[in-house]
Order: sequence, then structure tokens, then C-alpha cells
Amino acid sequence: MVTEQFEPIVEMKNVALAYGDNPEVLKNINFSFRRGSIHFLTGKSGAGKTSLLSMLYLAQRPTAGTLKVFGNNVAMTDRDTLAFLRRRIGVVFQDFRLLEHLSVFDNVALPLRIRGMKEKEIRQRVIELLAWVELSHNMYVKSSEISGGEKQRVAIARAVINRPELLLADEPTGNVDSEIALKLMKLFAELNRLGTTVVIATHSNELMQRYNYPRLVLADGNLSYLKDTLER
Amino acid sequence: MAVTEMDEIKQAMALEAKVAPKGERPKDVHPVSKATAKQRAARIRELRRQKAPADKNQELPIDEGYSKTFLRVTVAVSVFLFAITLAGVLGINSMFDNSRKQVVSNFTVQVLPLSDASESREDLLKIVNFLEKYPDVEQVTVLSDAELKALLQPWLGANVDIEMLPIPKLLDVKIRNGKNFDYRELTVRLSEISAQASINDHNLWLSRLLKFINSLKMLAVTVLVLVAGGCVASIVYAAKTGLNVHRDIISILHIMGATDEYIAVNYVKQISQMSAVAGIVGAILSVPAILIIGHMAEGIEAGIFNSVTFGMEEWVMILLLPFVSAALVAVTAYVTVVKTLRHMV
Repeated sequence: MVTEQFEPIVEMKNVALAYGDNPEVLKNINFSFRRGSIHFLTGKSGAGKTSLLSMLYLAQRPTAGTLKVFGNNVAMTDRDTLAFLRRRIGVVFQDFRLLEHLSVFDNVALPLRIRGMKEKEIRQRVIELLAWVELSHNMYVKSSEISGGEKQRVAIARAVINRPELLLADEPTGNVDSEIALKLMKLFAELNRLGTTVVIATHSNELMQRYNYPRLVLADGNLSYLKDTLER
Repeated sequence: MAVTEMDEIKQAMALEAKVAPKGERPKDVHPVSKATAKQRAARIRELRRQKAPADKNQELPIDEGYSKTFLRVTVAVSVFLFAITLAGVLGINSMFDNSRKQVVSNFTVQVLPLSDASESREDLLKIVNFLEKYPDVEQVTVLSDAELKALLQPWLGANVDIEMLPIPKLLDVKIRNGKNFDYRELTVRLSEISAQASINDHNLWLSRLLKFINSLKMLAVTVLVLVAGGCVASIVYAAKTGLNVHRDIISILHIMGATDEYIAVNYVKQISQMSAVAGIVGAILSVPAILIIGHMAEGIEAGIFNSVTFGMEEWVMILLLPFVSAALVAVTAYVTVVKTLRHMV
């Protein structure tokens, strides 16, 4: 019996994903992320990391197998319930995917507005978080007008403002210099310490050597779990 | 070697504990900021006191440019056409009502002349006496030769001497209860008094006019339906195009947990505001057009219809059109957006 401590937040059983009539990009995946865990997801470019993440943030339904997120079988879940489940997931995209026409403040406030939170409370939380990621000086600047590193921090602030139970980061250090990358990894570790389940997709060996989190390796659509950490 | 799910979980936990044992993790080190907690708290207090800018962009924007202008013009033109058509229908109704009110309270009796003039006068007197005593008859007026001449002048010309012609005498009869007046009975009773008298009760003419007016109304309704259909089609097109253009934004909103209804309401709020403004412009532009058409109609109404009375009620109906059209736009846009989003992530 699975106890509270081992409660899986995501369960994948024989999961496969194909786009249209094309060959499967993900094949027979069996894995569970337990609550409060942190993992690297690695593999060569085109191995299916982004596809796997998109299934985890419920943008894709598996074409075969069973995917359960927060105990809900995704294949059997209606659109509105999926939307509510997504509110418990934070996503950091490699290309940030900010709403460029909105200010930094409005981008970060977005998940709270979607939840229907009152503006007063939104303001309090966003200001606090933007001060925390040192972006309060650019609060009302359009997100199209800030630097790459700042965009990355906005994307992270947006992903965590809802205090998500699951945080998915797709190549979060791919577009930033090593100093910012280090800071981001510290931030993820801190969030994980606070109870968030974190999955970081990366192909950076340097990052994986520095942080010896367990690794999930995708190769030709197959997922394998590596219990051994990389040597420094 | 098959590794069970539970084994994997246990291995992961052990590995994480080895990598970063919980007891050794620094608690007060900020991962990004170099400022102290006290400095950050002071900064947060200062920021909370600041006022947020009033102009807030919408999450799902309607782009400025060709599409937005097209939609504004479509709504403004639609409301303009709605207003003109509605004014036309209301005007025709008003004219018909006024004409009917007058017609149902009057009728005409035509008395054909006899070969002998004195017999004709006697016959006429008999008829007038009979009508004056008839129930619900208020007044009987014999039209003078001058009045008859004036009536015939447009057809016969000014130089014709009507005394040389066998022109019938006309009696204008005013009645009290026009709606329930029994013309059939009067016709029978009148024929017993004089074989020369006949009644023109206007009912036949009125029923033909009513048929014509109903046809005009149907035509107006058809125009309204066509204009509304065109407006709806434009909104559907604009909404679909807008959603396609902003597919990326919609995808982000969905990933953040937005429901289709949330996105639709966000879009509808903007498009309704925009169409209300465009509709007000269309309605304002229609006012001088209606006044000009009304003024032109004054020239033809005399002799055919009675005057058009356009009261406050009619103007309110016309000026409410922008809001009716905004509601139509809102419902159309909402349904279109929700239906379109069902096919997106």
C-alpha cells in the first residue's frame, strides 16, 4: 500500500505518445513521481523531453497507457477538470513563453487571476514575489522590454506564484549565463525543500554533475531511471 | 532486471537524501537576491504603497489594425441600418395608426343626383335627416360645391364647371364609436330611405393599406435579419481569426489553468465594449439621416397618410440599438470562442 509519504503525484503506466499517424515519440513509459521529489529529465535533442513534459502539464493526452496526475486518469478527465488540475502545476518554458503585451506584474499575476483571486491579494503576493526575484524595479514594464535573464525570472515567478505542487522546467538554464543558471538551480532546490515536486528537463551534463539529483533518461522515446549520479 | 515502482521511489528518496540531506540545507539563504530579508521587507512595503498604472492590457488582446477596424465599421454600419429600418417601421406604424384613428371616426355617403334638381334636394334632405338621427352619428356635413370642386380639381383641372357635370353630393359623417359601428346595417337602412345613397366606409381601403403595411414590415424584418446575419458572420470571422492569431497566448492561458469560459469572457468583455462604442457612433449617425428622411416624407404624406408622430418611446428604441447590438455581439463572440477553443489545447 502506498503511504502518504510515498504518494505519487504523477503515475505513468505503459504510456505512449504519437502525433497523428507518425511513429510514437514516447514508448511504453512506466514511472511515478512521488510528492516532494526532484528529478532531472535528460536525453538528446529530439529524444522526447518536451513531449513528456507537455503530457505532464496536461497539454497532451497519451495515445496509449494510463497517465494519472494528482490521482486523476487524464484520459477520463473532462476539459474543465484538466484546467483545474493545471492550476496545481507550474511550468517554466525554455523560451519563457511570457505574454509579451503584458507587464511583468500582469504576467506573474496571471495564474492568480485565472484562479479568480481578489486583486488586493494578487497585488500583495505578486509584489512580494517580484521583490524576492529582484524584479520589483521592472514591475510595470512590458515583458517584451526586459532582458533574457529577467524574463527567465518572470517565467519562474509566474510558475511558482500559485505555490504549485508540481513544477516542470524545460531547459530552464538553456538561455541564461552560468551565474543565473546557478541561482535558478538554487531556487528550484529551495522550492523543492518547501515541498514542491520538481522535474527539470536538461541536456547539460555540467548541471547534472553539479546537482546530483536522480536522472530520468529519454532515448528513442524510452525512459530509463538512473540511480547512479554523475561523477563530478 | 525489473524494478518495481516502489523500489524506484525508495531509491530516489535515498539518493535525494544523500545529495542534499535535509538537516544540512541552508534555510535563510535567498536563492536570487543579495539583499537582506529586512531590506526586502522594506522594499515590499514601499511597493505596496505605490499605485498600479490604470491602463491594464487584456490577457487575450484584440489587435489594433485591419481586423479591429473592420469589426468596428461592420457594427457601426449594422446599427446605422438597424436604426434606419426600425425608424421606417415605427414611422409607417405611426402614420397608419393616425390614419386609422381618423378613418374609423368618419365615413362618406355618396348621393347620386336625380334627373330633377328639386327631387335631388329632397332626397338629400331625407338622407341627412335620417343620418342625423341614426345612433352614434355625431355630425353630418354636406360638402359644398366649392369643396367638391377643390377635391376634383387635381383630376379635372381648374377651368371645369362642375355644375355642368352630374357630380354626386358627398356627405361627411362623423361617428362616436367607429370601431364597433355596424356599416352593414346602416347600408340596408339607408337603401330603404334612398336608392341613390351609398356608403364609403374606408374599411376596404384600410384593409388593403394594412396588407401593404404588413408587407413593408416583413420586408423590414428581412432587412434586419440580413443585416444581423451579416453582423454575426463578421463577428464569427473576426473571433476565429483573432483566436488563430493568438493561438500561442491561448495555449499559455490554458496551461496556466484557464478554462475555455475564462478565455471567452476575457475576449467578450473587450469585443462588447468595442462594439457598444461603434454602435453608439452608428446610432448617432442615423439620427440626422432619420430626420432628413422624415422631412422628405412630410411632402408625400399629405393626402395619402396622416402625419408621422415620433415620440420619446421611438427615439429611446433607436438609441437602445447600440446596446442590443453589443449584446448580440457578446453572445455570438462567446459561443464562437468557446466552440473554437474546444479544438485547441
